[in-house]
Order: sequence, then C-alpha cells, then structure tokens
Amino acid sequence: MEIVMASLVAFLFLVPFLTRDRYLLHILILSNVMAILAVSWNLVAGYLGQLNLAHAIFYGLGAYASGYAFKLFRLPPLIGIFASGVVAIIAALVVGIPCFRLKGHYFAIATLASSQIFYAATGALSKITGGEEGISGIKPLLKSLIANYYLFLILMIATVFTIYMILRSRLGLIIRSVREDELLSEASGLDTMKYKILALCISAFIAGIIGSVNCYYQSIVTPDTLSISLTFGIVAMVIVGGFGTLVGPVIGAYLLTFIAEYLYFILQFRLIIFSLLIIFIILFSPKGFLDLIVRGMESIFGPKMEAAKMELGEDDVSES
Amino acid sequence: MGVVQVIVSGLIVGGLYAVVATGLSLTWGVMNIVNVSHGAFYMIGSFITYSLYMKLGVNPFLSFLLTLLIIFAVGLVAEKTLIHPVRKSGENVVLITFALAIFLEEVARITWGLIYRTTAPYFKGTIDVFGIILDWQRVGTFCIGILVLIIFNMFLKKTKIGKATRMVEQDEEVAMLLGINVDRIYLITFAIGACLAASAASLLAPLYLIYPSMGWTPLLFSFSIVVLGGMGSMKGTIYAGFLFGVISLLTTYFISSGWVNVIPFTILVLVLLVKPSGLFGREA
Repeated sequence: MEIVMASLVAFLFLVPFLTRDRYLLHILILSNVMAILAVSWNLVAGYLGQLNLAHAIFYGLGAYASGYAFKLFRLPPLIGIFASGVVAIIAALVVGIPCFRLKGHYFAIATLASSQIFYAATGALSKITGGEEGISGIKPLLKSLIANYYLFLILMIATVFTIYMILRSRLGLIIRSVREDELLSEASGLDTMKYKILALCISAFIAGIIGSVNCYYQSIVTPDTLSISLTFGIVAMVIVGGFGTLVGPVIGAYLLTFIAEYLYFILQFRLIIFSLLIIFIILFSPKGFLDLIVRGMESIFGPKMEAAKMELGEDDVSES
Repeated sequence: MGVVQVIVSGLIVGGLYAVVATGLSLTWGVMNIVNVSHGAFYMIGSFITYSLYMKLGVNPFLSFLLTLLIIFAVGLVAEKTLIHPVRKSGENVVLITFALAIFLEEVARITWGLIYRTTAPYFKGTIDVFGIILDWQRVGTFCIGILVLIIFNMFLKKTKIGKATRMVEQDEEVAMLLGINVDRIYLITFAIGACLAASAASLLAPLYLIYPSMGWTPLLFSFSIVVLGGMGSMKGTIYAGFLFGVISLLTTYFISSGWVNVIPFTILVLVLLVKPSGLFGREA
C-alpha cells in the first residue's frame, strides 16, 4: 500500500514534465486546494465525529484577510498568510465555543446557522467587502503556473502529513476518544470542550491558510468562498472519498474536482450529481468510495488488505 | 411607519414563522433528527404555489391545498427512501438531508431559474385597525396561518395518529410496546413537518421574493426559534416565532435589512450560553 501511495505522489510530482496542458495543471491545483480543505474538515468531522458545516467560512475569511492585507495594508504575503491563519482561528473560537455546547447533529445545524450569518454579513457589509465582486487585483506569490503547481502539491502533502502526525499524537488519541464516547472521556478527567475547540482551531487554521494562498493564486476574492455550496462540495468529497480516513478525502477531492471541471458541458448539473452521489454513498456505502474500493479489492485479494486499511488511517473501531 | 405599526406587522409575520418553526420542531422532537431540508421544502412550496397560481391560473385557495398535497407526497417519499434507512445515525441524517436540500435547490434552479419571482396578492385592500393601517393580504395570511396552527394542534390532541405521535415523542420504546407503528408515525410526521413549512411558504408567496436559495433563511430562523422557545414545547415555539417576527421587522425598518440574518444567530448564541433549554423547554 505504501508503495502505491508513494508512486502516486511521485507521479504527481512528475506531471508538469509530462504535459504542457495549462488547464490540467490548474485543475490539479484546484484539486489540491479542495483536498486540503477536505482533509482539514475531516479532522473534526471524521475523527472528532462532529459535522462542522461552517468550514467554508474559515477558508473564506482567510482569503478575505489576505485580500485586505494586500490591498488595504500593503503587507507582504507571508504576513498576509499568517494573518489569515489568525483570523481563521478567531473565527473558529467564535463559532466553536457556542456551537460545541450542542451535541452531534444539533452541532451541525448550529454551524450551518453560523455560516449563513457570515455569508449574509459579507453581503450586508458590501461597502467593506466589495459585495458580489469581492476584492480583486491581488498580486500572486509566484508567477509561473508550474511553480504554483508544486507549491500547492507540497502544501497538500504537508497537510496530510500534519494530520497524520496529529492523529498519532496524544491529541489524536483524545480526539478519537471523544468521538467514541464523550461522556466517558469527560469522566476520565479530560476537558473535552478544550480539545474539541483545539481540533476545530487546527482545522480552521489549515483552511484559513489555504484560503489565503489560494487568494494570491487567483488574485481575487469573492463571497462564494464562504458559500454553502463550497461547504457542501467539501462534505461531498469527504463522504465520497472516505469519511474518517486519512487519504479518502484527497481521493474524493480529486475525483469530484475532475468530474466538476471536465464534464463542463453538464456543469449546471454539477451540484445535483454531487448531492445524488452523497445520497448514494450514504445509503449504500457509508464509508465512502475508498471503502468500496478496499472492499472490492479484499474480495479479490483476500484479507491482505487489513494492513492497507491501517496505512490509510482508518480506525477499525470506527463505524459510520 | 410608527413603531407600533412595525410591531404589529412583526407579530403577523411572526405567526407564520411560528408555523414553519413548528414543522421543524415536529421532526426534531418526534423523530429526533435535524432536518436540514426543512428550508428546501419551504422553498419548493413557494415555487409550486407560484407555478400553480401565476402560471396555471389556479385560484389561490386551491393552489394552497394542492401545494400541501404535493409537498406531503414528496415528504412521504423522502422519508421512506432517505430518512428511514439511515435513521439510526444522526450524522447521516444530517448529511442526507443536507444533500436533499442541495438537490431540491438545484432542481428549483434548473426548473425555474435564478430570477427573483413573486406572486400577486391573494387579498386586496387595506384595513384600519385603531389607527394602524394593515393590508388584507397580511391580515388574511396571518389568520390562515393561525388556523393552520389550530388545526395542527387539534390533530395532535384529538386524532388517534396525533396522540400516537405525541406518545412517540415522549418515549419511543413505550410507544412501540403499546403497539404503535413507529415507522408509520415517522413517515407521517416528516411529511406533516414539510407541509407546515410549505403552507407558510405558500401563504407568504405574495409578500416575499421567491428564489432557489431562499430556503436557508427559514431553516436558520426555525432552528433559532425552536431553540429559543425550547425543545418539546409547542407553546414556546409559537411565542418565540412571534418574538422573532417582531425583532426581524424592527431590525429591517430601523437598522437595515442586511442585518436581519445576524440577529437570530446572536440571540441563539445568547440563549445557548445562558439557558440552553430555551425559554419554555424541558431540560434536553
């Protein structure tokens, strides 16, 4: 399994040498952005077990923060990126502290409500935020497409690695124990609220950072970075790819981004296809596409896949 | 536009907020699920009424009833195919209703497009009540809304299914032991919840803009109203609905309409921090 993944990553590094297709490179960059969002979302959703439907907000606020940092304050990009991270963490605190008082599916709709507020605020404050048109004319970090391609690829790998290290750490253990049985965790003396907030802050920080970096790449920030359909896209990618696994969200992100972009002639049906995909997966294969593949391969190759499952970061105690 | 006039208008629209919120409270209280598609049913209800009334020329009263019928059917199908299989997992229900909401929004977008629409008024003219001028459209809508709530309340208290529903809300296991077909209750409950949303939508069609993503605001408001009023308390939901109506309209007229969505969340946060069980609710 490790060999498969390593070779896939190596392949991704080689892509710019294999093709000059600018559109393909752009799509791969987009896929990496979505992959980072999906993986960071999955930390709270899959591993902590809480459906945060406000994830796009952290991304969008990060993007706007960098937009302002550049346009209004003329700050250099590194400070802009750092500021985005900070803004995202603040947002995570604002959203998390009240919302985490609710449990499970109630938490989900509370975060949904929060996201709608932020989204509405960008409209209401359109004098500052630039309304529908957002902020434009932001100077890119790197000029060449290929340089950007590697930047985002490296960021994606770094994100997956970071989440992997977190999961292996004591924090990761606590996060998963909260998911399994929060009452028991609290009874064991853990301040679960603190760890839930911490997980959300990490998740948000990553989203904010990538929002910022992407803002420099696109040179423009618009309100749809905060929209519900972006959150929905992220959710779809994680569900399709494999909820609660390390690599699943990445697969889901790549898959859905490619479907969305390359089947452009049915672009207007994109969200319908996503929603039907989610429904299909939840009804028939709740652990996602990845699980479908793994189970399929298991039936052919036999139980050797147990080791593969561990590599993929799946917990054998997890059930959807 | 005096303050009193705004407050009265707020109470009127609040009555309809209460209807929508009651629908959410129903599915939440009885089925113990969070129905993210509640707003989407509201939205589809608006569009169906629009098409019946404005495009096919069906008279308003009939449009209203047909809308309820169609939404009831859709609700039944949705519960059977989507909710029932995943009922055990709260998270999956949220996800699947989320997907349903997006799906319905896209269907609406493809069928009717993104143009803001509205319908012609059902009632014409105005009435002067103690110096406050109200249009019959709002008054008539309010009265029908209250009628819907009264009928619903009678359904819960007087009919066999209604009583069974309340039983399931209290204690599902005991209800099963008493021989109540809980699956059937869930099926009907979900459909009725959707109908309540759609009935308010249908009544409010002439007063507000109709567009595919209009459902999220009613969902947000309903959620806040149910939390504010307190889980499991129909009375609380109704009072909270009126309160929200008044607050929204006061915000719209004296601050600006842009902030109208921010207020519910602020209130929600305050309530959660101070008294999570809401104004009238039982402890969760």
